[in-house]
Amino acid sequence: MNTTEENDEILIGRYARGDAAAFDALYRRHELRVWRYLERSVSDQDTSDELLQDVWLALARNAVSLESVTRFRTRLFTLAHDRMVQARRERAAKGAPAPSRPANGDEPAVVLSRAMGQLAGEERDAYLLHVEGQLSIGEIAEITESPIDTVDSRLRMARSKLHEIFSEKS
Amino acid sequence: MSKVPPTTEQLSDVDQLYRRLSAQDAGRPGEWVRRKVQAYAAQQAAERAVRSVAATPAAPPTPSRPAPVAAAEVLAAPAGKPWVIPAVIGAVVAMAAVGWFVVPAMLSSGSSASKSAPVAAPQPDSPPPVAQAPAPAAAEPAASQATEPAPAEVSPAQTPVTSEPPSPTATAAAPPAQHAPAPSAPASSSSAGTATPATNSTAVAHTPATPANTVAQAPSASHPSAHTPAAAANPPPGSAVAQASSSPAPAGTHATAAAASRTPASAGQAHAAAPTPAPAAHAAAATTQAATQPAVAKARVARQNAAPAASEPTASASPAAAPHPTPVAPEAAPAPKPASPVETPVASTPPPAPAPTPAATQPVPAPAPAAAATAGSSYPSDGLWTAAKTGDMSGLQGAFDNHVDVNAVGPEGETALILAIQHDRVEAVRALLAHGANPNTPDARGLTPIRAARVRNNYNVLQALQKAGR
Repeated sequence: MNTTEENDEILIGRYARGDAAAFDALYRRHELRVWRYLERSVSDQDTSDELLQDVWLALARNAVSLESVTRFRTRLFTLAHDRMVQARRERAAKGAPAPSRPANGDEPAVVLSRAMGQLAGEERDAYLLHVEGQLSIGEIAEITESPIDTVDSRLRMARSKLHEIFSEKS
Repeated sequence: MSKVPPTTEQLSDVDQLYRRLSAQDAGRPGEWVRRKVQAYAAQQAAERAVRSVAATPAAPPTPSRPAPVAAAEVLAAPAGKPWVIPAVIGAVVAMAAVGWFVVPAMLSSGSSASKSAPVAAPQPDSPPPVAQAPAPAAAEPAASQATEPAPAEVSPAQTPVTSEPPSPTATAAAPPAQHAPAPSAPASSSSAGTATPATNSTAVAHTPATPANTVAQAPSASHPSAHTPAAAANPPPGSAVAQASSSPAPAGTHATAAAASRTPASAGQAHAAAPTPAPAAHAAAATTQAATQPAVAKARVARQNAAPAASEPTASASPAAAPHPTPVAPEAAPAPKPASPVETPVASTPPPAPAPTPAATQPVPAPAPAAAATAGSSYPSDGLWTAAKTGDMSGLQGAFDNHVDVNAVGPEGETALILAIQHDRVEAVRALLAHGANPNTPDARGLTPIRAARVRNNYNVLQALQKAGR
């Protein structure tokens, strides 16, 4: 894990100096996790695709400033979180309804989407950053701009709810 | 809803169940996203590569190729240009003539200048001997003494030593050893780790610098006669080199960097590097950076010191050094005569760089770039961050008094402001903001002060940041 982190920082440094292959490696490594975080947060594939594109374009644009960042993944999920919150606000400002989550079905995607829909927004956010981003509580606190104790409570609450949901399903 | 709360094991099972389901999920992002992102990234990378390639050849001058090689290439290349061959032959002959007639004359004039000082005075335009050209900045004080028309004060004992061009190291070592009781011996020995060929001469050549430094900073100088007010006005080579090498700040930001550009060390470097000014300056700067730069922290500091000059020490050094005359005599000569009229033409020659050398004689540790800017003071290198972390207001005041860069990134990657926020030091936060701490400067992880304050959920800190941000 530590080696991966070092490689991330090395890769973004190489890309900042003009190595496009380094960016491709970074993208392949983190694409799916970022997309899952976004998709399960907004529950809309098209929106999550657009957000994913925004995140990576911003990374490509600002790679030089990220060269000295000591933990690339934290920056990556910070960008993803900020873009997701912004999209959520824009949607709320337009008065558009939140996309509905599937009510029936046993497919894993449906089960997960339904489970995420039963979590509060902050709980879902903290939990997804934890399991998809593999971030620590302190990092989640920095990304969500919340106190560490609050993030801890949200994680516990999210796990407790998911335990009930998965138990009912099984 | 069950009444019994789940145990810790059950909660950790939730994560595993989630991961299992997530692995079975076949959902993937659209392929168009990947194509678009990769195309954009490739375009950006190509632009950066072009920019870096365009910037790279500007630094080293192209005529560094040996003339015979270039001539052979030209002779072999264009068949349709009959004028090329005579032109090349003429150029080669001219260069050979210059090599045979001009260079020996310059060499002999350089040695005669060091032998008889008054005669050497009207030769400001004679370049130094070739043997002195690659001499590192450590040998500058004496090397410049040997080549420049200043040595009216050179004692007879020094004259035979300085008249030997092939040994600039010896010339650098000789004059200081005569009058310096070496109060800076520990600092000089600390620079021995840089292990350049002139390291030994560095240790001795910097010896007279420290008395001059004490003249400038403390009234109890051990050599008041040798280091007159002129020495105080112009920082000595040792201190200037130490400041320049330990502080990557641009010249406009810190007074020490500006002082470094006025020092005799830069004049010596100018003469030592006279035949090839730009490569020598670059080599010296590169050596300095490689020797003293902790990569991440210094890069951050260089970026955050948003000065009008360029962030690269080499780039900022040349324009800063140019307008300042660089008298040589006060530090190099032990005689009480500080500045003679014959120094004027020497001083007017523009030194290409202040010549930061790896031979930093200051005992300031490397990972504290901002505090190192306060070289010469006794303020600890990590004092700013320690004071911010502990809320030590007197320590912070000491940092402000020593003009420490309050936005500098510490050894751990945090700024002082973020450290104060993370430890709920409200007064320290207010003091830092009042003294110019940027409320938007992130640390090495990209954490901004406002995010750190929200994590701490400290209303007073948030309010102070909000006020400072407006």
